[in-house]
This record gives sequence, C-alpha cells and structure tokens, in this order.
Amino acid sequence: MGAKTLLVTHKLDTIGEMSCNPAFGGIGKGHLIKEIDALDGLCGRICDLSGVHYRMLNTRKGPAVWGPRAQIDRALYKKEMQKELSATENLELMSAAVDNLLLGRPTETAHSGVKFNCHGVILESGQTVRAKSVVLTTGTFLRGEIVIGLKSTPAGRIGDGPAVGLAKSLDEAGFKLGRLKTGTPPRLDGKTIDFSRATPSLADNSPVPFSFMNDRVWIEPSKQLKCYLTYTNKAVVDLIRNNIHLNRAVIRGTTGPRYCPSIESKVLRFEERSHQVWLEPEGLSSDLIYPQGMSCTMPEEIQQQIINCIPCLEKAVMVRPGYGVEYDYVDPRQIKSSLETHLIQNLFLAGQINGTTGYEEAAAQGIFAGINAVLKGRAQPPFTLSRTESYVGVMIDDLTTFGASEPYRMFTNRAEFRIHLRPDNADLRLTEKGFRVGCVSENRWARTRQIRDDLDSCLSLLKDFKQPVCKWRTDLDRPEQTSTALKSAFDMISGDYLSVETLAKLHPEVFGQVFSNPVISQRAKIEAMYSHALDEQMEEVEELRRDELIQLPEDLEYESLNISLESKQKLMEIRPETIAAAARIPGVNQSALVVLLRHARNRNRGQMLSSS
Amino acid sequence: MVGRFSGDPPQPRKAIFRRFFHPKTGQEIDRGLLLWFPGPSSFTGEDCCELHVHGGSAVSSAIIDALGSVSGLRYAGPGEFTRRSFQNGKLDLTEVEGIADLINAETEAQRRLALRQMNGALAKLYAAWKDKLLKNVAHLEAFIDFSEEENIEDGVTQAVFDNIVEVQQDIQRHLQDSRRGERLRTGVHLAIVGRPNVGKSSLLNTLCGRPVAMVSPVAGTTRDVIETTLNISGYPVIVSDTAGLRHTNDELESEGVRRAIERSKSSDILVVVVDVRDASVQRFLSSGHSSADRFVSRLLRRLGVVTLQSEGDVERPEVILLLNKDDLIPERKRLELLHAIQGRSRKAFCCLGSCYTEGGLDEFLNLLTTVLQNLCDDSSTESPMLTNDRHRLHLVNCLKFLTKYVEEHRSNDCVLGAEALRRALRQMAKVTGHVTTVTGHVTTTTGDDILDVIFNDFCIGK
Repeated sequence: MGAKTLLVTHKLDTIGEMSCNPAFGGIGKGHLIKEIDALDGLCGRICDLSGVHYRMLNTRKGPAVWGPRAQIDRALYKKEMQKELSATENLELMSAAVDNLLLGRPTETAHSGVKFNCHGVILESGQTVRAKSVVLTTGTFLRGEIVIGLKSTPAGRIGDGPAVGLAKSLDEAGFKLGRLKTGTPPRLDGKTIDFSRATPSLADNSPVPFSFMNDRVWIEPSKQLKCYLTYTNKAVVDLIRNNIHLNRAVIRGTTGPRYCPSIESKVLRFEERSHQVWLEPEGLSSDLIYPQGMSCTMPEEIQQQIINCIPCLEKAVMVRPGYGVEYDYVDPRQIKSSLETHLIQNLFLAGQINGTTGYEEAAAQGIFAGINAVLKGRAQPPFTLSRTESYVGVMIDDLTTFGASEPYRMFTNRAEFRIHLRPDNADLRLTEKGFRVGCVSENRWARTRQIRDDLDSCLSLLKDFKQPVCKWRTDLDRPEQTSTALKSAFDMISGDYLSVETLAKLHPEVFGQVFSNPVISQRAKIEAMYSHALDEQMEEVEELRRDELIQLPEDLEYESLNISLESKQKLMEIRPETIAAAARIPGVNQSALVVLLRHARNRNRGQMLSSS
Repeated sequence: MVGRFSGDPPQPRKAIFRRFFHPKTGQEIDRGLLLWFPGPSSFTGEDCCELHVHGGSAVSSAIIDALGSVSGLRYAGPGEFTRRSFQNGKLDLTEVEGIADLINAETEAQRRLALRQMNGALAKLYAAWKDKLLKNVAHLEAFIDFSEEENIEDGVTQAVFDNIVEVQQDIQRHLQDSRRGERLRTGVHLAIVGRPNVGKSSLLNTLCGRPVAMVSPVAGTTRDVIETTLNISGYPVIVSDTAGLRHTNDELESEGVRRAIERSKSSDILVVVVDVRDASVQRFLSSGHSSADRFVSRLLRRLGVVTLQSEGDVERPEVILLLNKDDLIPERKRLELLHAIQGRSRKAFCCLGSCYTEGGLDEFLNLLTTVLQNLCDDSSTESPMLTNDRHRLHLVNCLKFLTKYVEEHRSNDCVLGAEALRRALRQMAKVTGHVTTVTGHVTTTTGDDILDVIFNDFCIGK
C-alpha cells in the first residue's frame, strides 16, 4: 500500500519459521489461505513455491468445503518468505526485542473509552521507534512458558526467550489478559522408522495451486513426498495412565484447544479408541518426521517410550521432545473489527495474541491488521469484511463478539453462508475490495478482472443456450420424453446428469472455446451447482447486510441509555460497531437494540448535518 | 401478494369491506376490513397490508394459518417492523423509546408464555427434537470438517440420514396429530354415541336449541349420522348424532351402526350418553370401588367402539360421559350416583343431567368447554393460539428443510444437504426459543452448540 513499514523481530533468521506442523491449509484453513491470497497476502504464493505434498481434501463432499492443503518444506518456505520480504518495497527489517509501547494521551476527538495513543515502541535496548500505527503479533511469546513433564521454562519457542516486558505493558495499560496453551509433538528421525508397515497417503497427481496467480505449483507431481498413517494402541494408554502424575500441563489444566489436544488428553477422554498418528515429512532435504497427533508434554524419556510402543515406530529415535506452550493473550472482545484496540488508539493486534491458533488464522489477521494500520495512519476509514462475504469476516466477528475461551480455529461450520464463501470464488469476493483499498497489486487485479469476464461470458453462454427437455434427453441418450419445456445448459449442468466435458462435446460450436480453459469450466460448473441454494440464501444475506450497514457510534455513552443492566454491561465491554454485531451479543435484548437504533440514526444524521 | 388474492388492486389507505377466504381450502374465514398501504407511505416504508378481522381466537388463528400457507409469507420477528421502518428511514424518532418499551413488554410476555408452554410435555417433545437435530447436524458437520484427517467413523452420514428420517416422520405425525390450528379452522369433531333411545338426539337438539334431529320414544329412530355445526363457547364444533349402538338384523339400521362406530373413531370428542337407569350404571354403583374410567372403557368396548383409553395414544379422542334422564330417578339415588362418579374418577369427565328438563346441562357444557380448550389451546392465556401457530409454522418450515435434506442426501454434495439441515435446526431452535438473535436475521448461536457436540462425540485432534 506504499506505507513505510518496519518489521521488528527477535531474530531475522526466524522470519518464515513454521514453529508447529509442516503443513498449510486444510478444510476451513484452506478457505482462509484463498482469501488471504485474494487480498494479495503472501502465504498462498509461498506455499506454491515450497510444498512437497499437495492434496485437495474433501473432494467427495462438494466444492464449497474442498480444502486445499500441502505439506511444506520448512527450509524452502523460510527461504522463499525471506527472499520475498527482503524484496518488498518500503519494508525494513530489524532484529530487536520490543519491550514496551510508546504511549501518549489520546487525541481530543477520541471517545472516553480510549485511554492512550500509541506512538511507537520501545526496544529492549532502550531505543524508541516512532510510528503512526503499531501492529503487535506476539505469537506464543507473551509471557510464554514451555512445559515438558513437570518442568516449566520461560520461553516463546524452543530456544527463544519470552516477551515479558510487553505483557506487563499491556497489563498496565488496562487490557484483560487470559492464558491459553498449545502443544507440539516430538520430532522423529525418519531413518529409524519402518514405513513399510504404515499406510501411505499419496499426494494429488495434479496439484492445485493455492494462489489465484498461479497455474501450477513449483514441484513435479511425481517428485512429491508421501505421508504415512499409523495408530496408537493399548500400550500407549497404559504408559500415559501410569505416568500422568509427571505431567504438569494435565495437572494444571490451562485452557487448550479441544481440536488439537495432546495425546494425553485424547487418551484420558477416549481411552478405548486407537488414535491416528500421521507421519509427515518436514522437507526434501530433511530426515525429520513430524508425527501429527502425538502432541505431548510428558517427560522426555516417557515420550521416547510412548513413541516406541506405536507400530512402525518401535525403533524410532526421538530427535526433539514434544512440549506444551502456555502464553498470554488479549481478550479479543477488546478489539474492533479493524483489529485496532479500543483502549489504545493506533495499536493493532493480530494472531495468537487475539486467542487464535494456526498459521492461516494468524496470516489472515496479519494482512487485515496491516491494511488497517496503514489506513489509520492516513486517517482513512477502516477496511472491514462482513460475515456474509468472507471467512476472515466470520473469524473477526466471532472473536470480537464472543471472545476466545479456547484457541480459535477456523472450521467451515462457523460460516453460515458456506455455500457462498467458497475457496473457488475468494478472488471474486475480495480482490476488487482489496484493490480499492490499495493492498492488491495492479497485476493481480488485472488477472482477476480477466477471470471474472471469462467466467461471466461463460455463464451467459450457458444460461442463453436453451433447448427443449426432449432434445436434451436425446442428446444424452436417455429414454425419450415428449416434454417441450425449455431448459438452459446452465440448469442442465447444475445436477449430476451433464458434465461440462459432455456438453462441450455435444455442442462444440458453442462451448468448445470457453471450456478449453479448465479453471473457468470448473468454476462455471460450481456456480451452476449452487445457484439455486445461493438464491435462497441471498435473502438472509441481504437482511444481515442491512443490519451491518447500521453503524453504532464509537463514543456511544452506554451508561446513560435506558436499557437493561445486562445489555449495558455487555455493550460497554464489546462496543459493537454495527446493529448486526450488537444483535449477536448474548444478553443484549430486543428493546436495547431498538434504543441503539435511535442513537445510530442520530449519529448519522448529525454527520450528515456537519458535512453539509 | 394482495393483488393476487383480492382481485382488483385495493384503493390505497381506504378501509374496504371484504370476505376472507383460505387460499388452500377456499373456505370463507371471516368478513372484515382490508387496508392497503403502498410504500413508501407506510409505517415501514414498504408495501403493507392490514386485515381487520373479528377478535376471536378461532378467526385470528385461521387467518394466521391461511397467511402461513402462502409461500413467501412468514411471521415477523419481534421488532421487525420497527427495524424495517428504521432501515427504510421511516422511523418517528420520538416514538422509538415507546416502541422499545412496547416490544420489551411484548417479548417479555412472549417469553413468559413460552416458558409456561415449555414446561409441558410439548416442550419436552420439541426440546428432544431439537437435541436430536443438533446432534445430527453436528455429526454431519464433523464429517465435513474433520473426516479427512481424523477418524470419524464410517457410516456416520448413514446414521444421520436414518435419524433425520425418524425426526421427519415424527414431526409429520405431530403436525397431523395435534391439528389444533386445523381444528379451529374446520371445527372440532364431536360424536354423540350410546345405546338406542338413551337421548342422543335429544342432546343434539338441546345443544342446538332447535329440533335438528327427529326424536321419538322408539329405539332406532336415528339411522344415519346427522351433522350440524355449532358454536360452543366460541369454538366451532361439528356435532354428529349417530344411530344407537346395538346388534340388529335390520340392514338399514346395521349400516347406521357401522357408520356411528366409524364416526366415533374419527372424532376429537366422544360424548357417550347412558340412561341412568341402565343396568350397567346400577352395577357400577353397587360395585363400590371400580373406577369411573373403567366403567367407561368397558361401556365403550361393549358398545363396539374400540378401547380408547390406552395411555400415550395421541389419537385418542376425549371422552365425556353424560348420564342422561336423571329426572327419572329418585333424588336420593341421583345424589348417591353423583357422589360415586365424582369420587371414583381420575378427572372430571362425567356428569349427570336430563335433556328433557335441561337440568345438569350447564355442567355438561362447562365440561365440554374445558375439553375444547384443551383440544384447541395450548395454555390458559388470552391468545394462546398465536404462539402455537408460530410453532406450527416453524415446524412446517423445519419439515420442509428436512425433506430437502432427504432429497439432497442422494446427491454427491453433502454441503447442500448440510445446509438444509442447518436451516431445519434454526427453525426448530426458533420453536424452542433458543435463539438469542432478535432482529430476525439468521442466528449464529447454534454454532458453538454444534462444536460442543462434535468435540463431545468425536475424538478430534492432531
């Protein structure tokens, strides 16, 4: 966007470090990558340059929930990411620890909820760096603590110290902080694993790139690596049961994610079952294997024993033990939908500090906070995305409305407009918006326009081509029928009866050319499949959008409103920006909403008067 | 919409006298005023139509039912008119606070009403459906979000399908069963049955206040079913007088008996008339302990009307026992009998009286009114039908989405099926009131419930 930007991080060498699993994407997470890419974010493009095993998940279940996923070569990802960043204009990289925020008094126009204005940061060295806006992305470093067995060590990641000073500053500024935990499995030496007895999982023959900018990924399909699957057994259960007293994380019980539990908690909850262990390669030039599903905080020697109980891993050597990380996060109900904090002007938060987990969730917030930090510095209105148009919008709305009682991960079931928010159409949903706000390059916007125009003309061809049902039936060698009702090609390909390929063969003079582009034909087919359901859903989308248009003033004095105490407290805490957001807050009742309508209207009217 | 149903377009903002017909059945519901407010000169700024009808619960219920049967029409959410009015820039600011209070009162009353209704058996039924739907939605969602990487058991989608078909059938049956809305629209069916010459036709005539049925001291005077529609305490009741039940060789009469029995099976209320002097009554009196319920079920069995007292059978009609001709027994005996029935029945469903002197018939009417209330209303509030119809509409919608799911199940794309199921769940959640979003748009609150179920039922984790 052309803004002068400084990236401060502990070690420049850890830029692009994948601290947990060597994979990107998945169901829901893949949707986020497509949206990040549509806004010209980096991770999708870097994944297309560093994947070693690409697979589209959920292909049996309908394109709305297809999940692009890839095993990534850690070293390559890091290399490509650092290369990209060092070539980015207006971006300066700096190796330092940020210890404190440079705070001043809020500007006079700020409302009473704002306590400070952030002018920059103070480094550990005492040096100050001034900035119009600051984005904090602390990951697991905020008062981070690593737990193995009964030992706990302050650290943000193995080998990296925690950020304690910064946590204190946030605390003192008045933020409500909470504590979350996550974990990572031990790493194994691949040379000591007997893969012959595990179930192999193959990559896709024709890998689909993450980025809308790419037609193919970097790797030869046949050169892709395999993943393997094995299972835990009764011996693992016994080992964990007998040693549970040596596990500090289990004893303390900090909130961890339910969907990414340690093997201990899985075994304790579902004792009778055997659990999956995926053996994932860490890269082309690495022998390390990442046993996904074995996240563990038992003492090191017990971890080794557990590993050796598992089929194919009897002789496996553990290179590094698994560990748990506990860290501080800021209750995300204290941030706005632009990711700026309510408390401190010009301070934006993104990633695990907001209670999320996962690379994709963090990346999505990162690009979003970055865009808004620039806009704020230029005194422009914030860039927001609605639940009706993106998974990013769903995530940010969930976080700012409901907070995070456990690390937040994206699932497709969180999106109520799932059939609209698809991976295939993320560019059409977001790229234009991104271009208007300035985060999307001219190049990408041109490509998206091209795709949009091609798709549009393909769809009109399909809709305009009509013939009687009886003709369709003879075309398709189906039993004859006399019906002369007209049906369009668009209607015909919406079901399972007619594939795009067959249609192109039946009427090459009409469709031969448009269907020569496989991306466009697939996208047209998907549009047709969902068009009916989408029409039905548009009414609900419209209703929600209309509510989202009703903005609530930031400086609304909830204290003085004649509404129920519970509504008042919730509204003061969350400070919703629209009526739609207010309506979703549990405990805010109907009459409170109607009172809010009045203030929304007054404010708008006031603005209109002052602007005229 | 209005144009579609009222023929020529009504004149704007003029009260017009019209007859209102049910669009599905074509039956006339009421006569009243139609007001047409084309947008933007209306409260909400959109096209609005007002129907002014008579205030009885039967009429308003039938109107709501009729409107609900028109596709594209739905209930407004609480405060929705105000919201739309606001969105369209029509809201009168000075009135907003007042409207807020009003809505609050309204929703508060609705909440209390809902709470009251929710305490009953119906509440348990709906809650059970909702839970079952939620669980199956969650299982399908788990299949979509997790089955590629986690071990979600095979066959989970088939299990979901089987469960949903069950719920679908349950709701279908329920909608047919407690056809309270329909009852009010088409009338409650009441059949008068009993042995010959116990005074069934006299009862009909007394109820009508005019001689509808021919009466005579000769047994078997009524041969066919005689039907007449009455207004009893505001409820539309279709009363059927039937032939006296007995074995007979007379072909015509035995056909009458057959029809009587058939009618008794399809009615909502069965009024069993017994002559107080009947031997069975004497036996009941002298047995000293056998309950009145047993007396009635025996009687019904002997009359050839199948046992209808089996518990839990929803189809079972309500039974009222009228011991007729009490003017023909001595007062002492009458009191003794009265005492015996009151003391030996689980709930009030018997009474003593005489169609001839009309003594005791007030009590019979009271009893009948209570039964009618039970059949037609959900609770004892002033307009109980409203919420009930609302439930009904949501249930109908829920059923529609369940059916869609069942259709989609065969296709390859389970997302469309899941979509239908999620919408069905939202409809059900509206019935049980577990929706916190109040401005009428889609709720997201079930989202977390779904995740809760997923994490409880499956081991998800990497």
